[in-house]
Amino acid sequence: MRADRPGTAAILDESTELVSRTGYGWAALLALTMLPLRFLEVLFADRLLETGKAAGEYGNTFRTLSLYVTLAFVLSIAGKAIFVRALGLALHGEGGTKRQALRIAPAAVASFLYASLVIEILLLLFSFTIVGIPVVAILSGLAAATFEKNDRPSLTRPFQLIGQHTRPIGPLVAIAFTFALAFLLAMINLFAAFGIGIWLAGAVPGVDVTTWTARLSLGNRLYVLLLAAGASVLVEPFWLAANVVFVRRVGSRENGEDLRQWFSQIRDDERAA
Amino acid sequence: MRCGNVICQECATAWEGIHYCVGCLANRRVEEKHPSSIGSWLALLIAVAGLGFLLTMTRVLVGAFLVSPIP
Repeated sequence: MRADRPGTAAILDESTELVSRTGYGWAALLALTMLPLRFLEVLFADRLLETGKAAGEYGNTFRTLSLYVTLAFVLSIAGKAIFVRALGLALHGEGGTKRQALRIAPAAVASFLYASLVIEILLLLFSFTIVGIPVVAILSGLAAATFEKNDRPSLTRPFQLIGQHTRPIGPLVAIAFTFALAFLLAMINLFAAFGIGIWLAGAVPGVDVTTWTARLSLGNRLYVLLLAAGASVLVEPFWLAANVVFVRRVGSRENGEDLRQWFSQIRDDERAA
Repeated sequence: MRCGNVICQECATAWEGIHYCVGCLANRRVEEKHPSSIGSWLALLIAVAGLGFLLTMTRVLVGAFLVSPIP
């Protein structure tokens, strides 16, 4: 018996390859639907930090802003659903047309939105704990990766599906940890890219970069928040792909597809030898 | 596999990337004939609307709580 486990390194390798195989057009569409949410979240956080203790005096403003964030959240879920479907089609070798990727069952999207809203509320409630955030992030990734299995509207089915795919937990935690590091690296890279941009602009005669140097420094709170938003948009496609690959691997162990692929790989290796 | 049972590859049918056994396919056919009830759709939509409102309010409350130590 082959003891095949969904190894973290293999999942990460496959997810990177899967994103490129799916096509960067779908990743760009995902980014387009994610950007309004991230920008509004940044605006909300920046305004909150600016007002500080006095935030309670601006209740109406924050409620309106929060409503816009929630509406942008709904748009981002639509983008995630389309991207995950495109990933699934590419993963099963069905490539498919653009129309196929856009043809998502309404029950699946509605269930995904419902589960994501619950998870987002949990994220907010546990936002001041250290353990809560990665746990909720893992649940969020699994909700996206399993959403297509919701073939009828149900209040319990999305969470049953998430629960069915939480084992083995090791690779899930390792993937979440890897993407936390990837997020930090993406932030550093973005910071470096803007720094290089300013440095190059400084060489152009007549361009005064003094203002921009101050704006694009780590002392500027808004800039740091925007770097975080940008990093999350960059990492998101790979995070979703890693979850899709993980769910597929767990599923393939249930029906023996992994063994079939393994035999096929051995045959290919023999032929090559 | 939708039902979660373990069956061999030959017995599973992949459709739109999801594996189905004979039983699941039969259920799917029944569901196609008898689409989801209006009640379950209504419950889901009410839950989504309610959770959307709850999320909007929770964000404001948690945000205000987190920044409360900031002068």
